[in-house]
Amino acid sequence: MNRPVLTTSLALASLALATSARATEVVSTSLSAPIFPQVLTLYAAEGPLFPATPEGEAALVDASALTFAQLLDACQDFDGAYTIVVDPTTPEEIAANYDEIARCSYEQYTVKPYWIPALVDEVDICERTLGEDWHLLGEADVGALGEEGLTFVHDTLASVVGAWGWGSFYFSPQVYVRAADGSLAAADLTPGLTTPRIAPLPVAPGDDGWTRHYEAGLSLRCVKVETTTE
Amino acid sequence: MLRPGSLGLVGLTLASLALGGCVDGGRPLATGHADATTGTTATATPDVSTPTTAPSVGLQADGSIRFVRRGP
Repeated sequence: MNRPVLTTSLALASLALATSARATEVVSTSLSAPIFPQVLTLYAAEGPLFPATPEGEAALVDASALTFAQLLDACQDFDGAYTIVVDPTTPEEIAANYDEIARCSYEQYTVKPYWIPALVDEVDICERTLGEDWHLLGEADVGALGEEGLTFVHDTLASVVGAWGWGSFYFSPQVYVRAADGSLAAADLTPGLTTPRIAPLPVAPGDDGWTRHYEAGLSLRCVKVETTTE
Repeated sequence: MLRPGSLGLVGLTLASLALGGCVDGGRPLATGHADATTGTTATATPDVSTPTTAPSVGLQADGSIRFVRRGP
């Protein structure tokens, strides 16, 4: 009698079809444009002049940080010195905007990758400037990128870099990161590294350099992760 | 006319097809595809020849780099 065979095979088919129909998880990761400080503002508030209160630190961030969105707007001034497409519709326009913003930020606002470590550590700059969905890149985020993600980020930036040569820090793989132990650290997002990707900063809370601008070329990038199903 | 044994084979075939259709955990993507929900993107080294769940999308108008992974 073939009834057992029929029953078994139909059950297998049902199970397989049910498995096939299971929702697919979609993980969307956004790595923000770097947020840099206007260093002339930072220089006037470092060391002994560093804010003594959280409110003062937050105010210093507000006064010095420039986001990509702010620069997209501001760099349209300056008598057309920068070619900014307000609503870019092509990949070429988006790439050109990125390159122009990098140049404008440096030339017009003295933006440099010199954040004061204490500010990055003690103020949630990502949430404050971009919104609550964003947070400082964490060691776990870097791990989740994997070699594929790191290569994708690297190749994307390499395909965008233009001819100006200014604002090269907009293309840097060196970033601030929140290490797994909670400390502020540096991460190298270069794909294919054989050396440790996360490294402690040479300054720590309590050190004199902790409240002074740090010229290590570290970018501050934020991350937003959204998970949906389809 | 189908016999009971034939129906068993049909069932097994269905099972094989169904299992084979989801081994990659979902719709494969190719690097460089724009994501329909985000509008225009600038992408790196498009390669539509290799089905993969590797990241897609790219530079966005707000300066961010966005990529999407799909998995089971």
